[in-house]
Parts: sequence; C-alpha cells; structure tokens
Amino acid sequence: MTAALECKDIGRNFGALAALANVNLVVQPGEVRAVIGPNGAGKSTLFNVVAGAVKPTAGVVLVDGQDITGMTAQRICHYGISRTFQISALFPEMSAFDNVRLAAQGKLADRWRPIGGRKVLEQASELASQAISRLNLKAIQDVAVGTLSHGDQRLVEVAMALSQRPTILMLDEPTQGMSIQETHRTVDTLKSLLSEEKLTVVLVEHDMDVVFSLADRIAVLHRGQLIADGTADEVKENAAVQDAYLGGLD
Amino acid sequence: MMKNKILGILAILCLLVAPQVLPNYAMTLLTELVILALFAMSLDLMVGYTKLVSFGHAGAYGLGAYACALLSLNTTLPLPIVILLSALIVGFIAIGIAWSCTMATGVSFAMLTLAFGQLAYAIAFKWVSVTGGSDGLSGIPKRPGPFGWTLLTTKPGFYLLTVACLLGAYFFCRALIKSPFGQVLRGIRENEMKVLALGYSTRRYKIAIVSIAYMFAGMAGALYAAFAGFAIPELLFWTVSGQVLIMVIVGGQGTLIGPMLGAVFFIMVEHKLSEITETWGLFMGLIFIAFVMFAPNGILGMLKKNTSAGKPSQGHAS
Repeated sequence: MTAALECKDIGRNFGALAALANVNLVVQPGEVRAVIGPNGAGKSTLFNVVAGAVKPTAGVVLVDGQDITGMTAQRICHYGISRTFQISALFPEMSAFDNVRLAAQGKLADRWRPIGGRKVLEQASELASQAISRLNLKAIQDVAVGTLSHGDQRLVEVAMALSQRPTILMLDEPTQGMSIQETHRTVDTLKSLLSEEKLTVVLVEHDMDVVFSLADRIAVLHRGQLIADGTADEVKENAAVQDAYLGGLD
Repeated sequence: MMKNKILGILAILCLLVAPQVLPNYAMTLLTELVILALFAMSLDLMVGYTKLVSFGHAGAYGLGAYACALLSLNTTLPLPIVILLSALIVGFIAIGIAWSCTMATGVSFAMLTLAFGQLAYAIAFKWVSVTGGSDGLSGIPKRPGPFGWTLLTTKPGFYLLTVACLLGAYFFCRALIKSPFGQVLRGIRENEMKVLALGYSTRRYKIAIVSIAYMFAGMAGALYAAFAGFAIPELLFWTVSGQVLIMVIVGGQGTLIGPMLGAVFFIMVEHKLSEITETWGLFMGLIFIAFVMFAPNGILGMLKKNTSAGKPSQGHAS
C-alpha cells in the first residue's frame, strides 16, 4: 500500500540553525498522526514543509507516491492537502458559510468563473453545508466570522479544510488558545468526525490530552530530530521522549 | 431588498427622461457626471472589492481618451464602436501593467500603478507626432453609425450612449462580484495568504480584475474624449488619480453604487466651492478628511445606516 504521506530525510536550515535534520515520517491512509515535541522542536517547520509554506533544504515529500517537494502551497492544495493555521486564518467580514464555501470552491475546476458560475456556487454551497453540519456549526453559519468566539473560529477553519475533501487533513494546533470547555468541545467534535469517516490526519498539538485522545500514532520531534515514533503507550514509555520533555526545561 | 430595486429603477428612469426635462447646460454637466461615475465605479472593483489601491487610474482614463481620439481622427469607425474598441485596447494594455504591478503588494503595488500612470503621462507629453504633445489632440469627431444611426452623435443621443455604457458596466460588474470569481476577490481582500492556501493562484485573479477595472476606466476616458472633443495629457496626470480615489472613498467603497454617488458629490461640491473661493481644493481636502475620520463607509454607508441596519453578508448568491 502506498503511504498517504511520506517524508524522506527532510532537512531545513534557517541560517546556521538546523530546524529539521533527517526527519523520516510515514503516514498510512486513514491514520491520525500527531506530531509533538517541546517548543522549538521543529513541529511547525515540518508541518509547513509538507503544506508548502516552507521549502525544505534537503529531502523529499511524497503524497500518495507523488513528489510534491518544494511546490507552492497553492499547488499542493490540489494534491489533496488541506490545512488549518496555528493562528486562525479566516475572512473576518464574511459569514462562516461564505468562508467555507470559498474553501470548497477552491477545489472545483470552474472556481475562477466570472460569468455563468451559478452551478459552481451551488456545488460549493452543497460541499460547504455538508462540512458545516458535520462540525455542528449550522447555528452560526450566517454570522461574520470576525465576531465569532475563538473556539468557533477554529472550528470554521477545520470546516473549510474539510469542505475541500482532502486526502490529508492537516491541523496546526487546533485547540491553541482555547479555554478548557472549548478544548473539550473541539476534541469531541473532531472525535465524532473521525469515527464517522476514515480521514488521514496530521496533527501538530501542544496539549497532550488532545493528542492522546485523537491520535493513532505519535511522532516526537526534539531539536529538529525525530526521536520517537509509535503508539501512545510506546511513546510514553520511551526514555528519549521522557528525557526530552523533562530535560527540555533547560 | 425590494426597496433597493425600486430605488434603482427610479434612478434609471430619472437618467433616461433627463434630456426631456433638463436645460442644455445641465445636460452637459449630467453627461460629465455619468462619465465620471463610470470612472469611479471602475476603480471600486480594485479598491473596494480586492483592496488593490491604485494611484494610477488616470493612466487608464487618459489612455482611453487618446485611443478614442486616435481612432476617431484616423478611421471612419462609428462612435459606439470606437468607444468599445478603446475600452478593449486599454484592457489589453492593462494586462501587461497588471502583470508588473502585481509582483508587489500593498504600498509598493500602489506606487507601481502611480509609476505606470506617470509614464503614460510622460509619453503623452513627449511623443508629439502621435499625441500632439502638450496641446493634445483636438477636433475629435463623433462619427455616425452603425447602420447609419445619427441619434448617438446628437447631444441627447450621446448622453444616452454614456448612460448605456454606465448601466452596462454596472450590471456587468454586479454579476462579476456575485460570481465565483467575485467570491475569490472578496477572499483576497480579506486574507490573501489564506486564499493561496485554499488552492487559488491569487495573482491571476488580481491581474484579471486590474485589467477589467482599467478597461472600464478606459471606456470612461474614451467617452470623455468624445464628449469634450479633445484629449490632453492632463487627463493622465496623477492628481486625476487622486480625485477618483477620493470619489470612491467618499462615496463608499465596495458598493459600486457608492463611488457613483461619490463622483456626483465631488463634482457638485467642486462647482459650488469654486464659485465661492479659489482655494476650493483646501475645503475639498477638509471634507475628505472628515469622511475618512467620521464616515469611513462613505455617503452610501451613511444612507444605509439611516434607512436600515446594514446586513453583514452582501453578495450571498445562494
């Protein structure tokens, strides 16, 4: 079986700093994979390398066996990767529905249509409605997202990524900055979403409770190196991981 | 919604019966207003809908005027065809300009549009053999036709032609902003990086909208040349770009209708103030500052606020 996502020997230097070095990661279809690590471990860099926001200085990224290394974010999107951002990236003056619809439209062939585009908008609306109801956002779909709570905004962003029917859904710290209640609600929503449908997910997260309740497998980065890769229990037992987290206070 | 429709139909009817009721000098002013309304509306596509601020929109206006002058003087094409051709020529040239300008964003983009506008001004000024230099081109005829029509070359007929151009452009732009294409523009206005991540190549959309906006500005310029009978370098000067930008902001950007009102407001205030004082520009500046500080949504924003609570989601086509 071809891996949904394969990173081979990824390296990324920022000047003299090696943010990533020889990182290898294989994500199987239908797997929920978390990437964790202490601050500055290179999680976000790895995430951005896969999503095309940062170009790697070494290595290759394969999606479904196809080489996407160094492509722009805009092209990578058409290989089936949809992402959320660590800091919510939305269209604040547009309604939640319009936000999601614009995302869905991005994957349709006639997305550019200046005239005769009613069909495109209908199709996009259909996809948007589905994504919105799967994330229980129906009640707020007509509200301008700039006025929504932080938690709702993050879920709208997930709905946008989901509406694109991605082969890989990439979530960058989905519960970042949320209150405890919001975090619980988000985790429950994501959990029910993942139980209904086999999605391939790559998740970067700080909150260990979120990671352990959502992820099938966990990869641990430390100072740009992959130090562990396995199930939750394997990772918890791993000496290098314990060392990284406890010794990471220096 | 219904109320807006009725208001719109009333406005169109007023524009159409005006030649029957208004005296001759008022028709001259009204024709000029319609032309400037079209000019201001074209800029709104960039400023209001895509947040691409242009300081060089006069370049498109003047290019349209010169295209109209050269076509009218050197060919026997009928007037409506000349206007359309001039608009298309400007739109085509604008693809190259937009391609260059969209390499930059924000202030740098605005500065590049200014540079291209001033470049066009310099060419119009220096290329005497083609543009007539500082004298410009004068004696532009309004040629009759097609099909031997002479109506459009009369004064009321020409007025109706400008109204037809304005309405045609307005309905085109309205359909454009409600289309999938228009939704992408709204996205670019609010968060271009996100639009990129959603799989759109935003630069193509920006080039397209700049080209369309320049095309309609060119149409307005062509109408102006035919209306005034001359094309001069001053039409391309950057102060004209500044004035049309003021019309858009004072009228209410991102509404299409607002900039038209802004054009009317600007010209009326200019006429009234210049009767009273020579330093009318100073007072116009104060009015502009007042709008930016106290009514950022412009005249249309104030009108909407007074009639009903503005709804946040416009252009919801579904």
